[in-house]
Amino acid sequence: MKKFKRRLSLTLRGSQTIDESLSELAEQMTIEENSSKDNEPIVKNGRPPTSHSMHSFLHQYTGSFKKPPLRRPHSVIGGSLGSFMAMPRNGSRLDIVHENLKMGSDGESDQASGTSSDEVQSPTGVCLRNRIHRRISMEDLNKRLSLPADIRIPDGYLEKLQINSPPFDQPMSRRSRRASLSEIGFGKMETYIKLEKLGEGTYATVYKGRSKLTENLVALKEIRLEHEEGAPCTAIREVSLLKDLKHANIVTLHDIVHTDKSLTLVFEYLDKDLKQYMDDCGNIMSMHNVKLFLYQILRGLAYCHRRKVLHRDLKPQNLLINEKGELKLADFGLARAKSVPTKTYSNEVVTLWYRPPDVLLGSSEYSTQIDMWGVGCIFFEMASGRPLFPGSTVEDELHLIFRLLGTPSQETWPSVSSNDEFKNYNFPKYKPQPLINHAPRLDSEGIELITKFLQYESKKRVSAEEAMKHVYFRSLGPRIHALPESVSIFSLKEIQLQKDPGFRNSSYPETGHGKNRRQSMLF
Amino acid sequence: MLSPAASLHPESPSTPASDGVPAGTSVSPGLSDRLPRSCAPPGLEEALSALGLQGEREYAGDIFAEVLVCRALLRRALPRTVTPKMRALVVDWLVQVHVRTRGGVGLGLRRSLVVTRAPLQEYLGLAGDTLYLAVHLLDSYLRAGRVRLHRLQLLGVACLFVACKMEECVLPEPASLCLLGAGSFSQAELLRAERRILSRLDFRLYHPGPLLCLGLLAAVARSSPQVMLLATYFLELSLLEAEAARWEPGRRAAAALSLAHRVLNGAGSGPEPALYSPAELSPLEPCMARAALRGPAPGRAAIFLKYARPQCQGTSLTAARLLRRPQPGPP
Repeated sequence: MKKFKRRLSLTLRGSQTIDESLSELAEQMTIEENSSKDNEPIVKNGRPPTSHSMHSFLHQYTGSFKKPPLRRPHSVIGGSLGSFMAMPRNGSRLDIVHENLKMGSDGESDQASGTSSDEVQSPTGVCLRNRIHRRISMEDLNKRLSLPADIRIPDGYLEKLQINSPPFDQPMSRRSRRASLSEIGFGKMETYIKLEKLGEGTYATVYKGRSKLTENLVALKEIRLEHEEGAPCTAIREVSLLKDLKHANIVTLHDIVHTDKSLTLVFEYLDKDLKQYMDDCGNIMSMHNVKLFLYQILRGLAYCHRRKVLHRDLKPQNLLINEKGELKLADFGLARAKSVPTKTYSNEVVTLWYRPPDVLLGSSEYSTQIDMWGVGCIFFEMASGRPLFPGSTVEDELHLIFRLLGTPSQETWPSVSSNDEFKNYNFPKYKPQPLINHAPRLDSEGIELITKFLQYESKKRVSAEEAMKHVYFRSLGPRIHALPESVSIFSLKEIQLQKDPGFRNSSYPETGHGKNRRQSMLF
Repeated sequence: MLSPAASLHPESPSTPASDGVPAGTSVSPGLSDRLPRSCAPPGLEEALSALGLQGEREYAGDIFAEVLVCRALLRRALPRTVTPKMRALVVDWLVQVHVRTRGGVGLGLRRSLVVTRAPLQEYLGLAGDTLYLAVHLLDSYLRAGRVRLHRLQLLGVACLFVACKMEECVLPEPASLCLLGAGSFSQAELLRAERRILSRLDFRLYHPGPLLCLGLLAAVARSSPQVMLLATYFLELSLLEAEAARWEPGRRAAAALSLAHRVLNGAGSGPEPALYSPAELSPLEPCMARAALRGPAPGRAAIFLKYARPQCQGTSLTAARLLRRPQPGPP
């Protein structure tokens, strides 16, 4: 390993890159912008002259290529250069860098890394573009930065933008976008006011908060960073996943504030989770609402499963609900992990109640079907008002399952007879009981659907996609199936939440009750 | 208004780099057109069940499309300060670290060759993904901006650390990673580098790597274990090539598989799924073949040595022998 540095320095000797002064770099960038072949002036730097093959590759696809939206850069180099060129290196730009440095939210401006080559500005070419002035409206800005519609940009930002920013019809680099966002207040803790603590675990604390930008409520999940380990993997997985998942039934991650002490995830705020919702209506939900909630769970899950994302920790505490009745999947900390741990980071034991029997018996199968068992359990719980299989240990959990659905045999679950763990438990031979006896409020279609979720063999379980088409949901009408991903089902006028029969207006104080709130969001 | 580069090639498709996708990434739209959801290649469901994904009948097409038609890094694969040679050196070192970290024991012991006890699966299965993800993160980071050269090794190991957090159940200790770096960086520096990576990549870390594509393609083609091993070796060699990072994982995997088939004269496999034409694979295959023929060249020997071990059936030696043999030529 010691050889590494020597080798690296050997490779350096041949090229002049390291001696390049910044001014040289700046010069090159100007050349690059003006010259026709972007690889010509840089050949001496050892950059692979591959742009020809790239171009021919791109040409192959020209025909089918969609026209990009306005804010996308036409090319990486051109785009970022252009926008940086048009942004004079004046006080305001430096402010951003300074701000980031303090906050540590922007890695590039880490103290030691100095000025990045991208920021080296050439004095030429600045003026021309800046002259094309157009009044920048809030909508322009929101569209360009893909901000929420209700955002409040700090006073003076728009004015500053009029002077400093590249024209709005020009694409923006990711970097300058981030700089803009940072200037507005994203990625900074000062932007959020902590209101009250919603819950606390060993690794994370969840606060209710308010964003100064939108005046909206947010949930702040503050993860303390261990000086030994850095960012916890559950957080890294959850964030990287949520970055890819944009759906009406999946909780939105608004912002991330990353400092060396903590990592704070800023989520949209939803009033309660399904557990509290059921508590608040005395565990007697309207059967219509049960249907709406189940449909939304399936809708969110189908979206995840199409992307090969498994949630793996579905439970009422992880399903958040707002006043409108919109249900969103939350807590993706275990999603995409290779195995479901029995303990999370805070040593809180992951609940067994919604775990499928194949996983309880040691299967490490990585398939979307493992989520579907939990959907069945939650469906039952909503309809009957009590958890279906509230086991306290793995054995207890399996016992409860088999007592209701019948102990599996060679006929009902062929592979189970070869499972050593199953043989060791030596369960009594229970006969399956009719589910309707336990959930009398479910209609026959509901019973049929729940049976499809509660299949021992994972490959026999209905998929989320199929389940949405089940006759049980026919009463919701046909239009619900044609909604775009980001649109809530309540945008259809025929879809409305009903009053739950057992609902008490729960305006009582949070004491005692609030203690266990948002456990779901804790590690 | 067109940016300078785009105006030069008005008919070339612009890079659709939205706020979401890191600038400069792109899928090849032609492929996604060829792979509509409903028409996955025949035998895909069987292939999925061969990979232990039999539950996914409903989503087989979606998964196939997502895995294969995934973003590749385009255009500027490396910043000007990092040459392909330097990059290869870092990747080569990462392979060594990866092998040792996987061994799990004796991290500090130099020549303990923990390596030899690690079962083959570790390089074919999940653990392999970590290496590919680490290199992907490295490339994304390098592409997204400048890096100081003496920090290249630190960057590499920090990428591996982040990749482990994404992929592995058991994390390597930061202290052991520092040991492997022979004291050229501290733990604090490693964690700071991690933060910088997360920030620069905006936490967009997920990347279905070429290894999964290879598994899928090989399962569809019913390739024999020997073909698969050879293809895995070729694919891993492509990690050393900065050029290869520009191609989408599906194409890299297809090229490795097709090269492996050709080298073995088509023995041990059914028909390959014709997702790519030979012309589309032609820029990649020679690059892998060259790397395989180069053998244990200084600074890029790790993969060769790794695959020369008995538990890899001396694949790298076989590959070099087969490649030196006169070729029947591409079909």
